[in-house]
Amino acid sequence: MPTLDDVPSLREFGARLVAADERSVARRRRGTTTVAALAGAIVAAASFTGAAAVALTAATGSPVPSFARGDDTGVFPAPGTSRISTVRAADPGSGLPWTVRVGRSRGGLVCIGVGQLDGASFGIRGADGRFRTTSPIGSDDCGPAPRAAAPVVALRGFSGPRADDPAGAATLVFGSGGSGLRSVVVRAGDGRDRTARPAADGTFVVALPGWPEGAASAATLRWADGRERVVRLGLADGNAPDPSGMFSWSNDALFRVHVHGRNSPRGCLSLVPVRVSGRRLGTLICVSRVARRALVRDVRTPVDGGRRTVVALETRKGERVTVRVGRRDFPVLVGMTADDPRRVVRTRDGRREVVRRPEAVTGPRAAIAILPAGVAPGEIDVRVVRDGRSTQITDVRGAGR
Amino acid sequence: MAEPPHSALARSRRDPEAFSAFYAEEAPRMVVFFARRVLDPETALDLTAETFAAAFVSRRSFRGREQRQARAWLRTIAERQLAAYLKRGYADRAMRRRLGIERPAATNEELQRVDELAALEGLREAVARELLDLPAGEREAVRLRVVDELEFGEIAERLTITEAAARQRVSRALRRLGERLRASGEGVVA
Repeated sequence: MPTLDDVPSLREFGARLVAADERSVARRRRGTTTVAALAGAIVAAASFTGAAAVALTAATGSPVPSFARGDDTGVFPAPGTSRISTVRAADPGSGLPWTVRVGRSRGGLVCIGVGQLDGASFGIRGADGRFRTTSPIGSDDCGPAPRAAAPVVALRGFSGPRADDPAGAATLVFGSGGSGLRSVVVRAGDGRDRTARPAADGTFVVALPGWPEGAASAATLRWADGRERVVRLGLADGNAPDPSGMFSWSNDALFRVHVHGRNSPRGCLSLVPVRVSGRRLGTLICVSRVARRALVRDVRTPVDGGRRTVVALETRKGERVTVRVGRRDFPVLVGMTADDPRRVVRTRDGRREVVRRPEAVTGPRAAIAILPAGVAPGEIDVRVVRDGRSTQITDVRGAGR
Repeated sequence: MAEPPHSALARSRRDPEAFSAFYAEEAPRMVVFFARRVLDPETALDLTAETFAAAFVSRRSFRGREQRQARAWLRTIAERQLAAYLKRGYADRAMRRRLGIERPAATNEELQRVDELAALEGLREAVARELLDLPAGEREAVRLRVVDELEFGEIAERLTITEAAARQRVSRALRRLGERLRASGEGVVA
């Protein structure tokens, strides 16, 4: 028969319980805890783990984490060198606050890691609600001592309760710019800036809701000597943050759509949310090759079921497309259409069938921006920049289905 | 002679300290109860803590006298916590927040001990084995509902069946799993 000696945490809890007098204890505000939704009563054993948060790290300048790049040299903070910074960032889900821990490797490199504070303990509260302290030699990135215009900036994402839903996920932008660092401004995927005041030692941390590719586009660091550096984070040419800032879009499978009997050549690609798998094909977005025409479509996102407005324009090599609504510039995703030997052919009687062709088909390059729902074509300013000259696209119209 | 827990629970209406004896007797059993239902030691500890926090807060509503009545009263609270967990996917913390207390983090040794007490390894293996024996359609429906946590409408869409049929498949599969586990002796829970 089990006893409380078998479960010390419950034994301690019991002592706290009877000592608590619920009538005299003031209601304290506690952060909600994001915990994993583990499987129910009868589940597949293979899937059942006390799942910790899935952490995905992208260091400065590379979308691939160091441990996945294979360049892990075993550099880590030497024991006794790590200390917790004074910076704090509130967790987007009202959980434990975030901070940064800095240490030095034996070779003199500065190692930085992000984590949460539970009292004086530094670690991570996993998606299952369990707090795990980080090893003293754990860190996210190591590099030469940061100084003006040569910072260490890292990006790390933590999933929420569901791996295929950004709700509850958190993205951390953190690092150090040395003692001269004065400000850090993170451009979030929702278009709003988040400003962080660095600590005296130059460390900083910003916490945003959502997955990294959508949550944090870039960070601008400014030093006391006037120098400034922009670090690209989740934003890349092949993806564009969703206006919610919670996730990002990319082009996945590439299809060319022909409609027999019609003479309007088009190039299409499939727009999919990044990190969401197991869904049906993404939304097919097509660009017109007939004229410089920006097509505007209302689409539904499979992530939160909401609507978005998508603008698509054929773009040529050497061009850069900008999309603006009011005062807000939207990131533009660039993808090739029909660069795949498969093609979806819609036959005359409406049936769709996939036909394999032996040769690759190169279609037009498409520039795509994802806007909030309900934006009318007339509100969208689309321009093409080439050789420093900007030309507005005047033909912006609804794409129809 | 140790006092029977039911009188301890009754006395705890006026004397919170008396709750300790009731807690000492029932909390370890409760962990095993939860562990065999959620198959995770940490979650089981959390659910136990929340159950007893709720029991402590509402102990004055207990009207019984016997030990079995106290246990049944506690079991009602526990079942409610379990149902909420299965629906939401996480253990509630409302009562602990209200009392301003938390359970300390469990060590790996404690989690391992809970695993052993609840014989979880054998149960997990039995569940995995029995799952494989389910008809493919039912197995897929259970996987989509329990592992992927899809709504029945989405399951229906994936399996190209009606929502009602999706509900039926999952319910039939879970019932079949439960029967098989009980028949194999692994489905006995405290």
